[in-house]
Amino acid sequence: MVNAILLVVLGAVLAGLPLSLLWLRQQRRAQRLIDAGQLELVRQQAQEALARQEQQIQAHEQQAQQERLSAQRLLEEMRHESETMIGQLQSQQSDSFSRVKENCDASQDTIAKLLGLVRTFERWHDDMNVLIAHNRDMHRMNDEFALIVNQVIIVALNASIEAARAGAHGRGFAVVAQEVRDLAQRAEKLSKSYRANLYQNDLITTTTFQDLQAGGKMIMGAVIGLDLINKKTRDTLAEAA
Amino acid sequence: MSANEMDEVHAVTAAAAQAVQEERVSAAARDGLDVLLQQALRSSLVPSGCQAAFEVLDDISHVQEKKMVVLTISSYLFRLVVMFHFTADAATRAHFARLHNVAAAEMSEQALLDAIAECGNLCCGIFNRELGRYFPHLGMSTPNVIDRQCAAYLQKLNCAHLRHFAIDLAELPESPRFHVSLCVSAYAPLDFAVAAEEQVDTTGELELF
Repeated sequence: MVNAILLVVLGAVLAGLPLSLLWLRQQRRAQRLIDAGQLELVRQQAQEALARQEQQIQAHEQQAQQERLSAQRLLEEMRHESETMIGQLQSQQSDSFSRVKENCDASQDTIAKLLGLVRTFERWHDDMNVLIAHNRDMHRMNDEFALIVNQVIIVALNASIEAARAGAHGRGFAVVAQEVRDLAQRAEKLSKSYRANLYQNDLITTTTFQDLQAGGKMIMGAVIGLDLINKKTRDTLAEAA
Repeated sequence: MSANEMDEVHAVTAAAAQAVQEERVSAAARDGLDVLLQQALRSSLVPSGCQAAFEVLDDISHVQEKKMVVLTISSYLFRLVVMFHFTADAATRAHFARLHNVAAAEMSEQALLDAIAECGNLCCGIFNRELGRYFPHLGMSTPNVIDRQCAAYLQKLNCAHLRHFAIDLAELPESPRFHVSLCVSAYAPLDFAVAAEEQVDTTGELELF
């Protein structure tokens, strides 16, 4: 009897064990299931969230649109300012070109006038030729004067000889002859000194006028160099304009 | 102050001025000027293919030439006066006739003077061109003929460098001994050196100017 009871109890325990396991699994599954009310609530919440997000997106889109329009306006303003500035710069550059060209033209005019200096140098050259011719005349006159002085010395010498021949009567005449001879010798010395001065004069006159002439050519060379530079500047401006 | 004392004062002052002048031209510049003038003379006075011997003379008072062709090369820094001493005799006439490929008998007095002046012009043109390598702004005069006795007063030009050359053409013994003087007045310190490779006979064409 006891055994039978034990067997019944054991059977009951063995039968109840899988049932309890099944019951536990059903409990867990029921816990995982959401009921329809809850689901509807969640769906509504999701729709609301979606609606809010759509609103936010629309707001962002509107803001972006406004910002884009604002940027476009700003860009337009900047473009306008740039165009205005470029116009001003072009105008200023054109003015600068005009001024530089005017200056170049003024320089050209001055250079052209400076090139007329050549006439001054030619005049100096002519003056030099006149002076040299004048010096040559003075040489000729001094040579003639020297010849006269030599002749006077010879005449005075002859007079002294004649006075000596005349003896006591010629004594006074000898004194006069000696005086004439002394004067002629002084004149000869003066003539030699004058000749030396004339040679110095020739050298100084010639080299001074040659210096003027060469200096004139040096200046003309420099002015022609300036003229070339000015013409190149004008050509460069004409190409750049 | 007596006249003699005044003369002494003037002599001392002139010597001091001369010393200042001479200090302005460096030794290298003196050599350079001498070399460039000799090169120019070889290219103008000496017939092509002929050798010339140059001798530097300290004194030319014994030189018996009658006239001088004078030319000046000027810069704002200095003035160079080059003098070609000559006498219009048969030997000189024969030399310049040979140089110009004409018969000596056909060369008149004026033609001879013109030939000597032209030779001086050519020489100074070459000298001027070569100097232009060292000094940018130069000008050259036309030639003038003055009496040889003027050379006794070269010191009156305040020269800082004075050099006399005698030129002999050994291969042409009938040619006269030529004499050329260089007188340099300096208005600022003058210093340049002719490079060794430049010291050759330059026979290039003259530039037109």
